[in-house]
Amino acid sequence: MTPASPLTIKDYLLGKLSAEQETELEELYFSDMECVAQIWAVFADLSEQYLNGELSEIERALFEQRLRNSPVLREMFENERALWHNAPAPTAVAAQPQFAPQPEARSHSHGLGWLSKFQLRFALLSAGVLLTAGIWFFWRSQTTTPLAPEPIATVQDNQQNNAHHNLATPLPQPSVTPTPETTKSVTTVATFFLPTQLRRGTVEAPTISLSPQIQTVRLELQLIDADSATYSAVLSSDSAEVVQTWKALTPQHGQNQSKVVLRIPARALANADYLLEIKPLTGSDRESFSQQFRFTVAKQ
Amino acid sequence: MIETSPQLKKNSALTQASFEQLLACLGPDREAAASAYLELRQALFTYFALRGATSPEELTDETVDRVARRLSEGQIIFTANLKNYFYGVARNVWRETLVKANTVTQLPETPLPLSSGPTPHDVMVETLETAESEKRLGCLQKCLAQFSDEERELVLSYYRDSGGAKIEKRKALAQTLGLSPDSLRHKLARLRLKLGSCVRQCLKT
Repeated sequence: MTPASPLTIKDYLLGKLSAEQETELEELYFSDMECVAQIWAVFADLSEQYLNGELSEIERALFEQRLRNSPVLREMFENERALWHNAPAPTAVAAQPQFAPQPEARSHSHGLGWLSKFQLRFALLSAGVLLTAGIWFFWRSQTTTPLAPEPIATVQDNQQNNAHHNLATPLPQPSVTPTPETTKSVTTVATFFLPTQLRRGTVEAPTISLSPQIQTVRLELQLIDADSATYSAVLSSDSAEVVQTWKALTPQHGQNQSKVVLRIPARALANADYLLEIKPLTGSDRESFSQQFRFTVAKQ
Repeated sequence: MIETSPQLKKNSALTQASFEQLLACLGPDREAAASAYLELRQALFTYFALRGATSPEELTDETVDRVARRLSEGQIIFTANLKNYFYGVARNVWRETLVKANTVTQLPETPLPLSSGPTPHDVMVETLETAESEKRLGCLQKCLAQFSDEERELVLSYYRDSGGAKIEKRKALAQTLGLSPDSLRHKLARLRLKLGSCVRQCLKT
């Protein structure tokens, strides 16, 4: 096995490698531990280049995407940033290193030790957070509604659904043949994103809270492996009763993740626990692999 | 995360016997096995962190636990390199983790109206970030204080300069330490991981 080049590692960190190339590199760093250090060294280089504005626009976007998707990388990056901005001059290095305060903080530090200034600033910041939170909630209530009812005509909504899946049956369906009343009406849609990058060991299912005006629940489900062209999905209740099925869901591919989107009439859902199972219809994993999402519906 | 202590960290779910059995498979003597074990945990941590795991330490423990359990049950592992087997198990652990949904984020169906200046929400986020940044600085300071003088000086000296001077300084630093530039980079990468682990713990408390 040949050592990984810094360029390959950089591409790996920016999410530019194919799945096969990723596997190859991962196998490498499990068998050659020097490669692990190399990966983190390249990550530090990338962080430095990012902070110095030396990355191209595309690389910068990919790096930011990577940081958004990985909480740990984000933390490592924040450490890098803090060290770059605050590493003390050589004379200041002592058994207890004191970071040089940020330039803007320095001008306000007359007579205050660094630590006490930190405590004072923290208290002021906390007060600021509370104040701005209050302003923010007031502002949001004045300008937007968090779940802004989307003025989508029911007929349009159905056409959009049918493009991706077949609405199967046992439950009341949205009107397929719209009457004049339904054409004029609006559908209030609540969108929920069910991610897959989640903390292990949490058994509690997420709760989807639905206010009375919600007519359609739109679920965006993050896919683990999106190598299938189409997926099927089954929504069942905790008593194993099938609520709705989809037979040909088309995945949507983003830069670093893929998802399928499906819509469920709110009236089809009760206050109960649900299991949503997605299976690939094509691709290598179709026989063995299915992805499950559990959630609880709470109607207000 | 990566161990900050030279001592072996044993996953609490493992029995001492199965842990010892795992170590025996990792190296010819206890010292070599201990070193291989720590390196393996670094690789597992890196894998899960890069996949986007919220808590790579837990997934690392889970992977080690599974392999040790299989070994203690007498399962024969057909692979030339046990570390590759760990990689296979780690992939399964990650895949299983992904199917366990535990959060939901409610997104607005329509985008929020564009605003010319920062919104109060922006201001709040910025304020929170500043507070977190202050706390991080405190933790970095505390964690660096736990490093040996040599390690601390190495980390800090690496970040002191910028521009062309930085490259020359780093070359000189490597020479002083009798290391190649790459070895210096790798050494610093390990120290950063150690620092990162300490800061994470500090921020949690």
